[in-house]
Amino acid sequence: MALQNDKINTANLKSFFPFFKHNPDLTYLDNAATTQICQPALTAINEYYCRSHSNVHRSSHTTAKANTNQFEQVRQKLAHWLNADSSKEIIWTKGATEAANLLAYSLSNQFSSGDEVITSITEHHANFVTWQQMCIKLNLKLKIVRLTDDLKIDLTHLESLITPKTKVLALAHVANATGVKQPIEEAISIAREINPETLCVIDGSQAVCHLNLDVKQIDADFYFFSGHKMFAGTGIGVLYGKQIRLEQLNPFHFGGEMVNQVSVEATSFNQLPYKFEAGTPNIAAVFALGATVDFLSEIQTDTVRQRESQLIDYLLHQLQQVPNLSILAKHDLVGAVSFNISNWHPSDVSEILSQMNIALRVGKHCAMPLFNEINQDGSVRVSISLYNDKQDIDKLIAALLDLENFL
Amino acid sequence: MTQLYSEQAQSLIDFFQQQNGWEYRYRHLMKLAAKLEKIAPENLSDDKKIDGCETNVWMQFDCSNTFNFTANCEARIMSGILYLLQAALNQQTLQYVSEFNLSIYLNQLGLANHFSESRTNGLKSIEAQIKKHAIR
Repeated sequence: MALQNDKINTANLKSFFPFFKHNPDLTYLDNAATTQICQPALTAINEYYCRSHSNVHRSSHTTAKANTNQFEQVRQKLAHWLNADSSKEIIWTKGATEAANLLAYSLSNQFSSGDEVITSITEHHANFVTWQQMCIKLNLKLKIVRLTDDLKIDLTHLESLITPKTKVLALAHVANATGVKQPIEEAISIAREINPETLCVIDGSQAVCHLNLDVKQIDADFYFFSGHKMFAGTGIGVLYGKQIRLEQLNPFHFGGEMVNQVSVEATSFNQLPYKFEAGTPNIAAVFALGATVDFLSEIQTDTVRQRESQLIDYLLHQLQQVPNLSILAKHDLVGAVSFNISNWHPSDVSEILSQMNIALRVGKHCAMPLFNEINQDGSVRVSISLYNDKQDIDKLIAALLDLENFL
Repeated sequence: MTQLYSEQAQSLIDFFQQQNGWEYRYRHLMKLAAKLEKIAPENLSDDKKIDGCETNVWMQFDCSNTFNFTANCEARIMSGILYLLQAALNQQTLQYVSEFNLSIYLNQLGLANHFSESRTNGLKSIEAQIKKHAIR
């Protein structure tokens, strides 16, 4: 791949992301919304379309066969990267949102009126609205687990919510609005202890580029994330599912290549993982994801991980030097810090910072139920990634200190 | 392109045009927020909320004689913009308001280029409400 001849300088990781070359004056701190695409992913997309564009799983000419092989190799690569048992457990989706919708839809025939789904208010809408709407449609009971003062799932409350009727526990690994890493392993084991049939669904969108993921260790039934939040570009997501669970699911979309036999009267469906992948997939994006995983396997060393966690500590420390700034949650932060400044509406902060070339996100971060409870105005969220450095944080802090000159 | 303005709006345009740099324009916009004529608290209700704005905006219109509106917004920059609209439109004839071109005004103030797509969309919703009340 592209990196082989390059000496990897982990001190300046921005050089692997062309965005920064084209936006040298921008301080990009909106990584929880999307991360920049890495050069290896761009190269993979370009090479696919320039040199080998043809379909997968259908035609038998040379480029088509080579593509199919490469396409399935990426699936194996992802299975290995996540420590899944088999590449059958890796389903390609458009992104995390489609993965959540696939699950809610495909599981729906396993539920009956009165069954229960448990989620929390700190979920992204993708993992909240999806289940809420399924509950409304099927007359299921949506139970909301409370949060502790540091905005983590309240495990004692969770324990009290699980019953023999609990079918799904849907939680985020890292909350997108606050950056708080949730105690998902404990939550899963509590749920299984009380009701072993509870399907545990984890949204890993905000964890995937910050934590080493091991789906066996996490032990969720389903775990999903988006490629664009791990430097691979948009249009691709991964749904991991335990094989035994995936086999119980109905197909989500119908169409080509997800079938086995079709007659006028009936259709039998293809085996895993293909029964969930109707139609021509986003081949270029899969190749980009594969190239990204190779890239990350090379550069995401312990040193890089450690530097990132030190940067979050530095960010947290520096933010606390800004007058009138209150941080939503300070413990177990992964990749992001969310805060408010008294007497400042978040949208004013964002607008002025944007004029200062600082990119971050304000508002309710697709987590309205959370902000309805804690702050109607939403918050300011700063989110870092492996390519950010102390200078980025220093520019942010200088800009925040400058805000009072606007009053 | 230009259009005729109230004395108050013209002096705001003159002031904004003298400001070199976005910092000064924004600083002034935030100061103007304090001048916004607000909806009386007892009249503030959800049906006055304007859809499509980044931050919550409420507007109340009184077009019994000339055009007049009061407005509330939680954010300062948007409140400043609403004040700019009050300066240009309040106490004008309904005819004037119905023909008023908001984007020319914002361009002359030197603000249009600073606004994001979602801010511009919010302003379009506000403009639509204004026109709806002026053209009856």
